[in-house]
Amino acid sequence: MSYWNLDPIEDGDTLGEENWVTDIVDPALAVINGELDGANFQHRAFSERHVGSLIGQRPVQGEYVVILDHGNHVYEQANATFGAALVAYASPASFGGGDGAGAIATADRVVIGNPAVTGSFVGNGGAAARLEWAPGLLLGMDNGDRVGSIELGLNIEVRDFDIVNETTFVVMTCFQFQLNSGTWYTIDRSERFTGLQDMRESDEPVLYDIPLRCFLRAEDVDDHGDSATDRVTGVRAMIAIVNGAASQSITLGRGTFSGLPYHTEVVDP
Amino acid sequence: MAWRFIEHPALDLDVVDVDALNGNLQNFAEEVNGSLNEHNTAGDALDAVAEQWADNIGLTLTHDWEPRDPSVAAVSGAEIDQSTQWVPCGTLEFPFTTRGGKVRVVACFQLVNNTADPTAVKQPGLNFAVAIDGVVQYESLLGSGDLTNDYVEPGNEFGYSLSGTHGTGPGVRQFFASIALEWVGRVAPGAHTVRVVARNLSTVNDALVQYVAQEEIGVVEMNA
Repeated sequence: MSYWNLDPIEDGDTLGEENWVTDIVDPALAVINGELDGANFQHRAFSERHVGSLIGQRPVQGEYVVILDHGNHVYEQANATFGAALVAYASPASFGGGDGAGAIATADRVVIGNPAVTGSFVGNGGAAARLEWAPGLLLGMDNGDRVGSIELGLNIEVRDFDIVNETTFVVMTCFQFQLNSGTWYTIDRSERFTGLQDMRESDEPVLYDIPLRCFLRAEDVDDHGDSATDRVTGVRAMIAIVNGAASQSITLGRGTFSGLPYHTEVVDP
Repeated sequence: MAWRFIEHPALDLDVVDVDALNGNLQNFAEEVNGSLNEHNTAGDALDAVAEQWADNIGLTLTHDWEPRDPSVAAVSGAEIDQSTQWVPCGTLEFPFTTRGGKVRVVACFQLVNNTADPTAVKQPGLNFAVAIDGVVQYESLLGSGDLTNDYVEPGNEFGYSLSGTHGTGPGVRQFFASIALEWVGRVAPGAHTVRVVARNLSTVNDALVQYVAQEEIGVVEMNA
């Protein structure tokens, strides 16, 4: 901290221009004119909206929270848009993978929601569990955007499913992130499996919520690129039916998807 | 910074009082020496100094995860000991250091709660919670089992569903389940530990198949 060491005026001092300027004014100006640093300011001074935030100093267009369609989105294996991908997840042992550039489906998983490119969903229209940012974020506090982490969150309601085998109906949900508006990469550790068999009686609705949380970090970007130069331009949530068979389907309902960039010091314990 | 005015204004013909002069100056010195805030800065002030002040960090995230294949039997998973008392859930437990104040814990893990044997005893349900320094934070409690609200058929707590894959009681009992816990609270300055804990609603002589596959915990220290 640049400290203004005020030299008080003493009784008997001759108060002339010289000592007024040299003893009082100059030291004050030396501090105020260009030497102020963080310690001169109150804690949290720059957390106030008045001067904005240290994150987002570079323009980032986009949203950070998506409310998904409240209607029924039916995902049918028979639908050409995502049929093969919906049931292609082999088993939990596959654990990870599914990377690709597809807007709706990649390899063995499908984006949750009702994206703008429709014709494939039965629903009332609405948003997909996908956030896209321009020009995107550089992850890592040493990189220009000072984003230590992006917290990803999903809650999605399962309303129904059409199963062939009564004993096993497992869905996989996970997060993916996109680099430089190109390939989408799965965050392997975000994969979660939910067993839905016996979650209902006969034709009753299921109404089961699947939660998912994950912190995306620079290390995840470095697994596929360089966090110093490759920008995270999107994040999304995916779903697949594990060991799915032909003609299987799943119906999802309301949900929320969020991607929250944090100006965060990241500590590995 | 509060709006500061001259505390002892000088008027014509006033006798100059040294104490008044010093008092006026001292007020401003006190503001400069650590009490400045957003009202002293221009709206675009940080644009020029963002690089310099990158360490003016508002949040700290302590984060770790454990990848673990959920498809392999208990030998690869972290077994949850069968108990009606709180026991460790998963293997992830780590320390975090804070200046004190509000922290937010986010935990997400894969529960595997099944066996291929349809005649084996099943799980009537589990509860989960976040523990800070070994103390269960009940605001984070997930799972039911409150007998005033949830029915458990006496003598059939360990019964199984039509398909034989899982139990019929309350609590978290799915074949596979994604579990997410969140907790926000205040902690004292210093070092602490965080982990997830679990307990069974009921126990039985036979071993219950219950373990944790991949798990992830983040502690966001909100430096307030």
